[in-house]
Amino acid sequence: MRKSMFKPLGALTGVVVLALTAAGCSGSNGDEGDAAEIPPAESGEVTWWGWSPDTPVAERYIAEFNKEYPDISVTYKNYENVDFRSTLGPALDSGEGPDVFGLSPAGGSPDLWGPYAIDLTPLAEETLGSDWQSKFGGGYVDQLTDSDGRFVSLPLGGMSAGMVWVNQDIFDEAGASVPTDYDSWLEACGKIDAIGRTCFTMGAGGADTFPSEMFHSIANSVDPDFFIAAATGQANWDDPEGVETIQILKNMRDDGIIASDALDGTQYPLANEAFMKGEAAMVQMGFWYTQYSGAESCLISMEAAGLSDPECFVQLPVAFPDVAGKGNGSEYFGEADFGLAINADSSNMAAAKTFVSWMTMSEKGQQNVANALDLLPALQGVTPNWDSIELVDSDAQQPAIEKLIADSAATTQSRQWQTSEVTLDAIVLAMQEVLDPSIDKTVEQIAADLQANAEPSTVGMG
Amino acid sequence: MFDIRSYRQQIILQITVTIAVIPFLIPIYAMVSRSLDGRGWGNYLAVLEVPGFARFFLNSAIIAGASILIVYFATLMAAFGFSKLRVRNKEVLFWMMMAALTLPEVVLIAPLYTTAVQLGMLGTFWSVILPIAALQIPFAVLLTRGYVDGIPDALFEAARLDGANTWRMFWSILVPMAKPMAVAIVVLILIFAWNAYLLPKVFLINDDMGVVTLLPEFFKRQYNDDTPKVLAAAVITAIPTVVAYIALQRHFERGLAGGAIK
Amino acid sequence: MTIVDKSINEVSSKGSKRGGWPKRATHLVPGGLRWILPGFILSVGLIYYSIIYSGYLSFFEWGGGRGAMTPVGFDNYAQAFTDPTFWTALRNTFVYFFAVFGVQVAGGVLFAAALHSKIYLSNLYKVIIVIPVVVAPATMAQAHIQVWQTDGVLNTILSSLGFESLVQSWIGQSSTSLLVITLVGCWGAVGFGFILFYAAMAQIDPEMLEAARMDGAGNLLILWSVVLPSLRPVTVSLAILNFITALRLFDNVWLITQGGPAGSSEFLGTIIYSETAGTQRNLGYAAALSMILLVIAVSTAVAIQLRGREKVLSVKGQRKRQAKRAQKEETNV
Repeated sequence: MRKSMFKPLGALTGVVVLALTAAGCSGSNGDEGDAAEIPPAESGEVTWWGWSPDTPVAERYIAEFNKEYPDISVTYKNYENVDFRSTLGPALDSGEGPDVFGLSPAGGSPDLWGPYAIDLTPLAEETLGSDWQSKFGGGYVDQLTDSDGRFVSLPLGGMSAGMVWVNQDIFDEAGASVPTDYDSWLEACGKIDAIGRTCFTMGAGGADTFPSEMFHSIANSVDPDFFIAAATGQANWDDPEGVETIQILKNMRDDGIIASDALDGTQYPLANEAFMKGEAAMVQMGFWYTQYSGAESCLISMEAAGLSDPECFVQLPVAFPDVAGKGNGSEYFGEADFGLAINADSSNMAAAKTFVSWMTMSEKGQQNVANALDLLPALQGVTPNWDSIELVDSDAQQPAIEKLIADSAATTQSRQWQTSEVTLDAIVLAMQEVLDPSIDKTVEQIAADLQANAEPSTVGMG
Repeated sequence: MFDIRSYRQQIILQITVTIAVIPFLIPIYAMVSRSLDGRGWGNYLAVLEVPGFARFFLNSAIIAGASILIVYFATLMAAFGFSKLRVRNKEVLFWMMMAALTLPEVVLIAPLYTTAVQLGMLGTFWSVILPIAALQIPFAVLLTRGYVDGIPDALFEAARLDGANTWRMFWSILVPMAKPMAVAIVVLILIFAWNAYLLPKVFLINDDMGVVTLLPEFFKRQYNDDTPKVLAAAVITAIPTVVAYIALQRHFERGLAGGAIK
Repeated sequence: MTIVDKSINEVSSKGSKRGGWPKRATHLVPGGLRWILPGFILSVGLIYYSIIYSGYLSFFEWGGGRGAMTPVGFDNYAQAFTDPTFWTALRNTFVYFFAVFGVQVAGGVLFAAALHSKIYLSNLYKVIIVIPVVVAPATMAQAHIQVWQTDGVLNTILSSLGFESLVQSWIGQSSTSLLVITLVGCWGAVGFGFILFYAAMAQIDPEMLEAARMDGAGNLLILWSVVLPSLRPVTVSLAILNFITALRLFDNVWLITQGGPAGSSEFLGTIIYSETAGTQRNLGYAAALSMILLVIAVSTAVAIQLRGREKVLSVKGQRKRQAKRAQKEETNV
């Protein structure tokens, strides 16, 4: 190579080496000792990044926070799920990251992002006393603790799934009753189809992991322990229970319970819009769907789905029908949805502690969460203040929601914490193979593929 | 291009093109009609009412403008160099540039972030402008080089014999003669820069540095997007680029008609 | 008139007499490096760090953040070549490339030619064709879904035209998902090709077209044997760009089918995205895939370019002969 080539290459290599070394050195692991000693402060500036909650909700929380701490200004930045992961990493590495960021139990996040956060055990102990762990919802603390035993994220709220939401108005119109098992589901669908509505809407296309919740629910009615056992490698997905689960799914497709456009798109927007437009009678969504029982939020979401003059319908949560018919019902499953972590490199540590503490461990902060009807409050003993919430039909909905909250809090089965992402993707793939009319595999084959593709999780074991 | 001799030929051409254009309209129609669902024109109003709306357009314009300028000059210069001048190891250098085209954006984010921090560019528009330019230059050079190949060497020879230096040749021959392709490149860079989403999202975190591609975010929720408003934002965002394209087209055609080529 | 302007006029008229095709200069002016440098430094400097970083990363297994970075040698590459999804993605890339490139050239050239002719409402047509290029894929995706979904526009049109049997779930079937992506790609590609071909056609010497017409050639023949060859540089560039796009394809796929169902419409771009931004990710694997992508892209691009060059040189020879004939006829008349 000519001499003239060496100069630019040489310079380039120099830059590269410099940059790589600098990148390796940047971002020190905050001294644990120092972090624990900084007391929460009354003033300062805090930046908060997360994929949840939505910006308007976060701003409500911050406004309430400022009523008690007017001198701490909090700025929230919302990211789509995937953008959040791509952006947070480089930001934290370079020392330009936010003071507070969302950290969830799913996908091994405590181990991935934990090293950037401080251990919140001292803060929790200070605020709630020595038995602080029992003050939070079942298992939440474990779910947000990393493999080294550091408690890296204070839970803001929990999530549960496995319930089905019904449009009571459609059921009334069709003269159908809410199904409790496979046969009654067929019957109800028959009546609903007769009046030209969709019985059960579902969006199982794409790469979202929503469909895995339906799989989980069906599996729970076959055998309540099977799903978690298979997810953690103590059972195989192609054991008889697994095959039966897939068979039931196939039956649901063949018998027309599942709409034929299930693979056209993802749960959002496909199924959500079908339900919000009042076209579908049933949809499987998690606890966060409770918020649309609110008189105002249902109008907003119906308008967003494309209705120009929406009139709210009554949406009610019901248990997933016992499709296996073994009398097991179908238990709900849930875990902490996410928590707030404090950046170890933060220069606003004191103010951040105050904020996080208020949001997750104070009654007022958690009351906000409860009232939003989006998450289950992480702190036990906090229930929604029904006087400040306007539902579409309080008489019908309030008792149902209260039962939902109670059942959700009682469950000990996890949702995604103990299922690896690889397994979740494999489950979705298997479901798509069942639902795709152009694929011709037997149920046993699909189950065998699922077993081959899945990867057992070791989280929460031993 | 087509020699139209009879009225019949004219009609056939007109009808054929009209029918050919219909498939392109279908998704556009779907988008616009969906954006009018729900609140109808109120959706557009909601988009205009987003705080800092005008600022977003300004910022996008700044980014697009700077990117276009950088790419325009860098490309013309490089195409000139590759096509008309002698460069040692020309092809190797050329293909090194092309390799820069191949990496997916998402892979670039982490290394670019580190670079931006090292160079102190974080929080400035440069952290977005420079990567956009860097990503567009290779393709622009690829295209322009071919175009410049088509400009007769004899022109440059004659100029050189008349005593013009390289710089003169560039300004007085290349730049005017490359105009049609340059216009095309400008349009494409404008579109790319205007529609950039990931780079601004990651690098322009300050509130007053938002760009138009962030407009739909205001109507996206964790689960429940307000699709009609998102589409209304998309329509509004697309308008400047369409207008720019038409304006540039007119400009370019006027140049043609002036007999610059003849 | 300046010296340079005069030269242009002189040379241009001389050139057109000879048919207008330039002879390759036997001696180029030296000192070209400094002209290339700005563009080179910007694109190579900024992007190469990322390439080298990715190359380095491809030998590790890393979940991102402060997770452990375990060196794994060539395992990531081995994983790629033994993963059936990888090969599906490559197959999809080739199908997509040939289809979209073909439609882009055919559609782009035809529209450009038509709109260079005497036609009414040309501005309107231009806008319609170009809008697909202008609007970001992210925002058009929802509209595309509406066209292709089970109760969408296409199926409605099909059943109203009596083609009930063709009505199916286009997006939701692994047999047709690639078709949807490809057609959506074609939709956006024609406008792009149009913009470039339209500009390149401006460079074609009208005298050459006249000469061919005088020979009695019809419109389509002229298009094929005179216009198309002169557009070869653009066509070659588009081939390269389309191939690289097909390899990296992400936006449209992710937003419409997300690579599904059952991985039938995966592309390298979407696999890399899942491995970089998914919750269970191996950034080392993503980097290895990016490296493979780079090698495939550059080697194919070089191959396309070389083949394109050969054709250009042979076309030039043909041109010279054509021009000489025209000249002879002029002097004869």
